[in-house]
Amino acid sequence: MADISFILNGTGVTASANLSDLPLVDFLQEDQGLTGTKFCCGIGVCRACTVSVRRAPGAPPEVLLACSTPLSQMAGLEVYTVESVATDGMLHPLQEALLKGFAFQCGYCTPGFLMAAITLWDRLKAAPIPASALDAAIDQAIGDHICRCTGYVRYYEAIKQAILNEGGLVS
Amino acid sequence: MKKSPSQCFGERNTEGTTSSPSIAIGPQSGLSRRSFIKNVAGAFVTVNVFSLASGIAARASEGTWEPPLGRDGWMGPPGVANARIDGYAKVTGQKIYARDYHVSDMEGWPGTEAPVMIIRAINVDDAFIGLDMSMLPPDLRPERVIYGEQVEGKVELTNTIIHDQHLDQVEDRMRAAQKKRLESGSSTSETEGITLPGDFMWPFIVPRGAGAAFYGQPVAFLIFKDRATYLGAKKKIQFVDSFQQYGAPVKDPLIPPLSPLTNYVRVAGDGPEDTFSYSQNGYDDNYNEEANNYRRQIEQAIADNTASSTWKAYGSDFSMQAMDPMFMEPESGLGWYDASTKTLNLVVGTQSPDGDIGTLLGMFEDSEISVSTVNLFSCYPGGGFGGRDSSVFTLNLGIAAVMSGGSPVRLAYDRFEQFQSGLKRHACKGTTQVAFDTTGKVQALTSNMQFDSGGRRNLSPYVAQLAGVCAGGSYNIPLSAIFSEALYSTNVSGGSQRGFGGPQAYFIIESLFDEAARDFSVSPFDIRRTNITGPGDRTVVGGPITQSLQFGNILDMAEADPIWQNRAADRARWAREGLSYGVGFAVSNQAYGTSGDGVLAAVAMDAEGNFTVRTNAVDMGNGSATTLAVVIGETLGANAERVELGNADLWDALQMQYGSKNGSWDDNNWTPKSVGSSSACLTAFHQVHAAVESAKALFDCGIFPAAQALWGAGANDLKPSDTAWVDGQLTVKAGGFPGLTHKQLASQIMESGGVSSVLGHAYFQETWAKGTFSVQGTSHTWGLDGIALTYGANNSFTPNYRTSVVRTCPAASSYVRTVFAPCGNLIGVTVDPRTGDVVMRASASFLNAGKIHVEGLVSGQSQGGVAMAMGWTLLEDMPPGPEGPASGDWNLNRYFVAKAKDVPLDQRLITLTPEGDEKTGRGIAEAVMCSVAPAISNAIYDATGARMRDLPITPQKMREALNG
Ligand code: FES
Ligand code: FES
Repeated sequence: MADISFILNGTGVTASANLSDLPLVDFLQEDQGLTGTKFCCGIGVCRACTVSVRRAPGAPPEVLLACSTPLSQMAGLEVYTVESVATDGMLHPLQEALLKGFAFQCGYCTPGFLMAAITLWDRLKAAPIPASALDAAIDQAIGDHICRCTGYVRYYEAIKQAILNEGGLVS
Repeated sequence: MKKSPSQCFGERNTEGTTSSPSIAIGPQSGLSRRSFIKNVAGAFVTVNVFSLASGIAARASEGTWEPPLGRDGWMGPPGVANARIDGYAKVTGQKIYARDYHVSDMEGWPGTEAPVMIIRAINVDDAFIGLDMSMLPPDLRPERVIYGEQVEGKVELTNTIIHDQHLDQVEDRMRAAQKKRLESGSSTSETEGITLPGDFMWPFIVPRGAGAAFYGQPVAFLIFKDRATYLGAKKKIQFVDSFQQYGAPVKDPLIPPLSPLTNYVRVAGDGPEDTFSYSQNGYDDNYNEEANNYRRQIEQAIADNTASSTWKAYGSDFSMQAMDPMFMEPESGLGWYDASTKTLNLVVGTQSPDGDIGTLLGMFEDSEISVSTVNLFSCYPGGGFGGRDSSVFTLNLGIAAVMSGGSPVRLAYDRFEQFQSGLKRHACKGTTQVAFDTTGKVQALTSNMQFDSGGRRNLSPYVAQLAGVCAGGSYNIPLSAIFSEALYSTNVSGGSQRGFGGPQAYFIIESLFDEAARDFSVSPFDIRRTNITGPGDRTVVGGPITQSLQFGNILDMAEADPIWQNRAADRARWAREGLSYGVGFAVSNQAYGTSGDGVLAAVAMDAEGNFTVRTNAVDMGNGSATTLAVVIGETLGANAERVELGNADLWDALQMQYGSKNGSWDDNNWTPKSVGSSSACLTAFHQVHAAVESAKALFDCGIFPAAQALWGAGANDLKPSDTAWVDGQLTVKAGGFPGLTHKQLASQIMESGGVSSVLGHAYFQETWAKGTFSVQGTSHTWGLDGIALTYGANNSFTPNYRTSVVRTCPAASSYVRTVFAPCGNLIGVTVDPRTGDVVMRASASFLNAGKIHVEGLVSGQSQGGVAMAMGWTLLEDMPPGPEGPASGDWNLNRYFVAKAKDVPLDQRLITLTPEGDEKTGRGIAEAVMCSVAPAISNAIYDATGARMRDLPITPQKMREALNG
């Protein structure tokens, strides 16, 4: 079997073919040293391990669960993890909103929520939706996530506020 | 290649994204390190504590890494936090949790990491024989298999009972005692002079030939060569029961209820004094006998008065399931025992660093393995909720490290393993009866609760004890007889989960009060108004309530709330969708802290004039780091730049004695308690007190003298109270002296060798002990009972014992709890009569949190409490025994916790304005949670007329209730 190549946070990476069964989260954490993507349930329920992917250059971003995606399914994808979100020391508006909104506590679930919200953000950038549909869109993006510390309210509020403040994401 | 920290923290790669935020950690890393010496059985052990979480904030202030919100980005003006101090690291995915670290991150550690797999008992009836290694092909076999008999003599159970008495004999005597108890029907523990088991009664690893004492007890540690072997083997043996081999049946270990038992009987007197109560009579030699006599009288009074229709009694059996804390980061860590230097290195995220170190050292006390140095790297725990308090994880890691043959090891549970081994909220059964007179005034209560402690004791009896305190709810009850006990079982161990027995107790009493209100045809607010407790009343223990509780306001606000006022319209609206809607209300008066709490904090000023707060406490996400950073702002004119957590060395630096065996208040270096483990409810009141008082001490004996020196002779007569911080400068209120910056003051302190940091210890038991200290010839009094100081640039603490102390009230030791965070929850639910689905639609929490330090943290904690309690009430189900997580194949696909979409966004928190001169916060992390379950259950009754007394209220149970 051939080695597996994909784009990780803008850089090409190659995993040896004998790692094809390895879940993406293990590859990120142990082979790439990118420990921001979190492992919690390992079976695709909690969504702490959410990363954002594009299946082809320019394709709309989608979320992907790194705990239950083996490297064999990664070939050719563009993957973005929490480590890619702040650029040049500047936080993304969503990160700033989560931070200033006291949205999280222990923070272990935060990269998952963030990457789900970033995926929504990037999709809205490309295709804004009516403001009236925003609550449902946020619910769709993070409704299945688990956070054990917070009651989710501040996550919802912070994400919504950041999207509304940005302008151009809702019509 | 191992990088040096200055190169790698938050470094940018060429593509403009953040590279691996790895940080090389080790003695040279520049991370905060504190060292102390422990005397273990006559041998001296050096303990170095490295705070990894603090490294994050540290780097920010060193200027090598600038958070985009600015160095002051998280920080508002003195006393204000704009964000969490640890927020930037979390929202950018930095390495802060133990699970983020690998051996490659550890400076000076050799080779690659050896993954460890713990095999856990799935059979408690038969003797464990061994593992069937033939199931693994040779290339997937572990390098080492550690069975229980191999660690005998190497790791000791840190439990004196084991040292003093052979385990078999202890078991036999316990069995005899238990038999006697069962035969006599006595509800008190008859222990035949046996020291009851401590936390580590059972071997860490079951020896071959013996039976496991509980499900999930380790039967072997497998140490693998590398990740590939570990993962390959795991695929073959995880979930395969036949990998473990069992032989002949073993006898059940019969263990009496775990000590101490809780037996609170109270008979109020006609005047302010009680006729009988635990706080008044608890030290009587025959307390239990007297209590049981009164108990019978109370039972008789209820029987007689209900027979004559003078009283009406409401009573029932209740049951509640065990619950997994399900903190998101499964327990993980690294360990390495360097035999050449006898050094044990551990990377962990624990709620109890002090306790873990103590137990760890105890394990090697009489061991063939010599440990002379422990390096503990303390990480940020990815959630805790009590589940990491005295967890045996750290000890397992220590065992793996010393038994690996020199390789560094990594122990990282997956979620299945975490479910199988992690501490649980106790399952509970309770029978309670509460009797009211014809006016609706409560007259008497009897309550009996059993908590399933599982295999290890942990904090179970204390959980049962607090449940006993809560059993009378928030009411003034003249006659009460409460019995509460934690029972050993073969289930996965219970621990100190958020609420600490409160959720179980309040579910019972608040359900019964709702039942009574319905029967009396009064509102849920009126029945509580008639009976609610407040200052001047006594708890069921007999301790006086002296704090303002504000239950009257809570009841008024809840009654005026739209959820209650609009309930008829909401009911009609939901009915149009085919759903039954109801509103329920419940209150709790959850105590925070314990019967006596020792806390400490160190506040230091550096040469630049920046402040650091150090604490032994750990922030589990509850925000203690942020809170402690800002609460010193008012006193010191600036918030702390950094907060260092998990400093297990600080207590030792005070060089104080503690405990009744080692002294008394007459000894000026003595305090009743040293420090406890971290609990979210200890921050706002207890830890904040220690930080604020230490800050005051730093001001009084360090900063103010420095200011006087800078201001010159004219300032000699000034007092600290004559000064004020204005725009970051220390000024004299009356004017006449120039403002001084922190930097100027710091320079003066450094040059003159003045007091640059104060480590203060405080003790609370109804009141704070107040010590008077002589520092450089001046006498000062603070709410501290011990201090140690550093001078100038010298970072070593020198103890400065008090000269006198205003001690806490001796009687308060028997009050059990003295401070409370009252809360009411008003909850609207719908019930689908076809499916039995219960959905929470709206909630409002009315909380007396005292002074709010950081609003965003308080509301986050409150909302988290509502969500977690909702899960416990409706979703989270976990059968005991091998059907439950003990089987090793449980995960979130069958254990359902509340997801984002399950929680109503219509959740409001209304905090009460503190009354009178209350200037302190209250520990609220548990308070909001306690009355959620009964509020939901009462709402279900309102919606459907079905009274649910068995948690969780699953759709199936709901359907059964609705269909008779
Ligand atoms: S870790 Fe839970 S979904 Fe991936
Ligand atoms: S903040 Fe702790 S799990 Fe979400």
